[in-house]
Amino acid sequence: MKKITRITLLAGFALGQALGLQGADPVESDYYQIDQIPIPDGVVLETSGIEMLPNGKLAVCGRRGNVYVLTNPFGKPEEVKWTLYAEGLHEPLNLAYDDGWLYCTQRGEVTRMRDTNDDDRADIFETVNDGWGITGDYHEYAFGTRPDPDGNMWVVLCLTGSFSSQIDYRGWCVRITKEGELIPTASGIRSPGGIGLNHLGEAFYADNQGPWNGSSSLKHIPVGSFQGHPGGWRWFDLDAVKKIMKRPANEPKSDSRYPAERGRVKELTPPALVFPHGVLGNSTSGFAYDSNGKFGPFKNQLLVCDQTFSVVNRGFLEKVNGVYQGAAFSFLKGFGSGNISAYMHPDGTLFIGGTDRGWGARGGKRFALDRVTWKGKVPFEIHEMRAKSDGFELTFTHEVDAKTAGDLSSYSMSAYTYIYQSKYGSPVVDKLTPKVIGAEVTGPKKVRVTVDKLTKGHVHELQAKGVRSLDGKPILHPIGYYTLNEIPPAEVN
Amino acid sequence: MNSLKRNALWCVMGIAAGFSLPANAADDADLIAKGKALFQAKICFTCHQVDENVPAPAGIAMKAPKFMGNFWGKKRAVTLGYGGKDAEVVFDEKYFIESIRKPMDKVAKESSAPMPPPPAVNDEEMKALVAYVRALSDGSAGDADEGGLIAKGKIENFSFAAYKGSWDKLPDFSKLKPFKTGKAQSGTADPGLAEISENFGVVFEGQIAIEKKGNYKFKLGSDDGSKLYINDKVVVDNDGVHSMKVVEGSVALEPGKAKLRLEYFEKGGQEELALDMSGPGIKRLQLAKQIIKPKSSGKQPFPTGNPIDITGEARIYRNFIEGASPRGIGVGYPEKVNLCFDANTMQIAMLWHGAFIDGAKHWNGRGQGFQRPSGHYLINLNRDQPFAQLESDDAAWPQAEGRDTRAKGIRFRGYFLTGEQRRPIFGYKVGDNLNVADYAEPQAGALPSIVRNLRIRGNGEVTYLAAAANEITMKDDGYIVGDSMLKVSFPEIGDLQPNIRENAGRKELIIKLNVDGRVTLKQLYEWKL
Repeated sequence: MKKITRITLLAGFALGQALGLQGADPVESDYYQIDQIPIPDGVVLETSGIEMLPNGKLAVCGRRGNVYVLTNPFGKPEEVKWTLYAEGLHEPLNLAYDDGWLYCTQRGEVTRMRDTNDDDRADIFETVNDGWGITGDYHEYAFGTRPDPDGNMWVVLCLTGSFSSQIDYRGWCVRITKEGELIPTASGIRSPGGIGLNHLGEAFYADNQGPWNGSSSLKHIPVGSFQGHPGGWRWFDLDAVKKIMKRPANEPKSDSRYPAERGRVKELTPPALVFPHGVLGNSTSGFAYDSNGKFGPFKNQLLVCDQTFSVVNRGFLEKVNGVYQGAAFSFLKGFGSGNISAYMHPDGTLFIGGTDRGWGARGGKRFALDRVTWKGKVPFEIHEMRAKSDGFELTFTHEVDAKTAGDLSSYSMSAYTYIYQSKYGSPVVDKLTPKVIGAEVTGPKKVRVTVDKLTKGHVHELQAKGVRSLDGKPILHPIGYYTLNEIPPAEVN
Repeated sequence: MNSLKRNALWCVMGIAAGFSLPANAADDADLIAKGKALFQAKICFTCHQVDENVPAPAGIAMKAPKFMGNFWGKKRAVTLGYGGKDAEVVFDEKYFIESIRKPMDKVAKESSAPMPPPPAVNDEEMKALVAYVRALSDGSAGDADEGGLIAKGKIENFSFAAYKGSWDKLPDFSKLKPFKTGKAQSGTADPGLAEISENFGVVFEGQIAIEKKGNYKFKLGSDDGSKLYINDKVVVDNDGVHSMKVVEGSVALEPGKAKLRLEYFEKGGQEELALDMSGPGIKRLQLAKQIIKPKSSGKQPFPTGNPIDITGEARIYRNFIEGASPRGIGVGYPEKVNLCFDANTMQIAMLWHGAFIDGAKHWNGRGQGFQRPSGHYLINLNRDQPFAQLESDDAAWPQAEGRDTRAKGIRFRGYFLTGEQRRPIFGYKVGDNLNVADYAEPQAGALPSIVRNLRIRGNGEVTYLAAAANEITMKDDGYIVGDSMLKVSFPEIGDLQPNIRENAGRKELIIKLNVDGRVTLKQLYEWKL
């Protein structure tokens, strides 16, 4: 049945092309396959961390504090075997294997565990560092990374609630060294949904819409930076912080905008990728990336989960004037629950874990573990969207049809931003409609789009719905949401 | 399916008897009950407060609308889109459904954030949610079983006895001593007569007048467990810890007086009891219902439903445990004794018998709050750090102050699970030169006890705080600690000398240790009842 449909479609497409008509529009599942790995009866795994073990098994942990090891994780979903490895941990939100140990970040500490008597269950749980405070507020989540190139694990600590920090380092990012020491690293964290490293070993974390966060976003964490929410600034008074960091000279003003406050508070790092609230998601969380192109054409781009929408979005990042920024795109939908954890295996298999507990998710399941594989076909997508002094340069995954790609009416743009304020969230404000005044096809896969005006700090939403590939296909996800923190200088010829 | 049948039955009986019931009153009752369950399952309750005694903490920051008072059918100020234009709507079924399906469209103006989309709600579930929330408005939600009610309060010679305790199943009340007994004029079995809301049981006894011979049906609903005896025979068994659940039973009765005995217990969280009877000449007679609301203790309810069962191995529950700092590590042992080790102070913060702990508080919704240990005979111990390197014999003991105050000069190292029973050995470092392995060994028995094995390695002088309380008295071979049930003693103590010192207005039972290589110390914790 399936085969017949496909042949019919192909035939139809060829005919359609001959007659100048369009074939059936491609869909995500033409390119990526999502398999839900069945979770055994009686197991509640609110999947919050995923990590590959050197023996080819997959370790997964959940918010109830349990860790399972999955044998044959790449096999048929129903043949994956689950073994309980550990339990009783305090809401662990990541797993990382290093040096013979399985590390996890619990609410109160970074822990490493291992099985010392070969019964396939962890029996030693060593506290690597528990140098941050915790009061018992349910918001006090802690997310951690794998070791960075220096061997440090980055940990982001949610505030006590949405607004304040009642105890040491709530609302901060800290690094935990191999020796178990804690290094205060950045202030301004509100409510993280995940943290990870990019292919260069730089740390990025997701913060969620709320006070001082108009929309959920992914933020780069330079050492010493301020990430926007001043609720945790009292910890600048700790001796351990004073030794290495200074309280910013100015506090941010509420009811302002990012560019203005960046001018006043030089440590303030703007979000690298805004995921417009209610559009691309509601709750940005964990991410992963493909380091070798085995997952399709998006090597090193960030594949970022959203818990509420049960989706994975895609982020292209570039550094302009020393600041990370870039474009967010829809990527994949159809996951089982509220995605919070992501792991990309070097062979190009992406594992996504989720839970909808406490915050609803569209997926519908209470918890899930999904596996995504690339089917080998390259979707027609905007591969990169780079800021230019007068617009954007788009690079596509396939060669473009010069007629549609060079047609101004194939594009439209809107620009908007959010209030940077101490109140919860923000409506969309300062809406603008930049006019697309140029669309020059500069290469087989490249188009230079110029607009009449760029606005610093705004999300520039580019719709490229009219562009077709050389073989007549529309763009699978034709909207790019570019967070324009910096406008690059004009290129010198 | 069962509940459909039941509804039909109640409806038919109502109509046959010619009572002027609302057309779907009985349907409403079950629908409201279903809606109430969905309100929990769909996590509405984490933000929307419905009971003045039960706050919804997740909704406080967002200023989520409360479903209390008279709100249904009333006007409400909203914005069209979050932060958009002001508008006014009527809080009715249409708006309610719209606000769940499209939470961003019309946002309550009073809220500081739009509602995050809830888990998917299908049309059938939506009907139940509407019924429940609408019922909250006119105050009838608690009366989910009003539909088709014909008569109430017909228990004669009615008496009750209330008991304190925390159980997972109905206990043998004959072996327990009630804390409260009485006769009630109302003729309705009301768990509110116990006047407490958690960890109690009530036995109701009385008679019902039977006029016609025949088969009588009893519909017994409870949260948590209940059991109905008629003429000393079990007619409905609705035992166990659960949310509101209705079980039916029937019995043939002769004209005359039928003896009724209703047993009920409540562990934590919501409490509810309802018993209806029907049969020849009785359309629907209400025999039990919660009418008196227990005074709120000001505390959050004690949720149940995810008990962590102990079978062959020790189990760990690391979470926010009431009575310990936020770094509590609960350990449940198969010997039916449990402890909570506090990884902030390295002290055993609590000891208790029986059931270990329930994950319900942390495994549902957002998981806010501290979970109380389950079981019984809970002893809260002084939480000051167990070891200190004192500058002088009368130097004050370092105090655990506030929630997250850590032991001074001690660093937690983690734990190792040992043996087939996987009991944890906790490790911590005292000062620069001493390492402690802290291993609790449960002792099985009718009244289980704990032996705490402390092995200190390294070099240096250190003082061990075995107990601290306003009063510590020697008795037999040990020490009674304060007015708790706790007796401590030191088997195999050898040359070491426990001392009671007076410090900062309390008594401290201390042992000075001079460690050169290795010292071991055993402390026995026993219950004296």
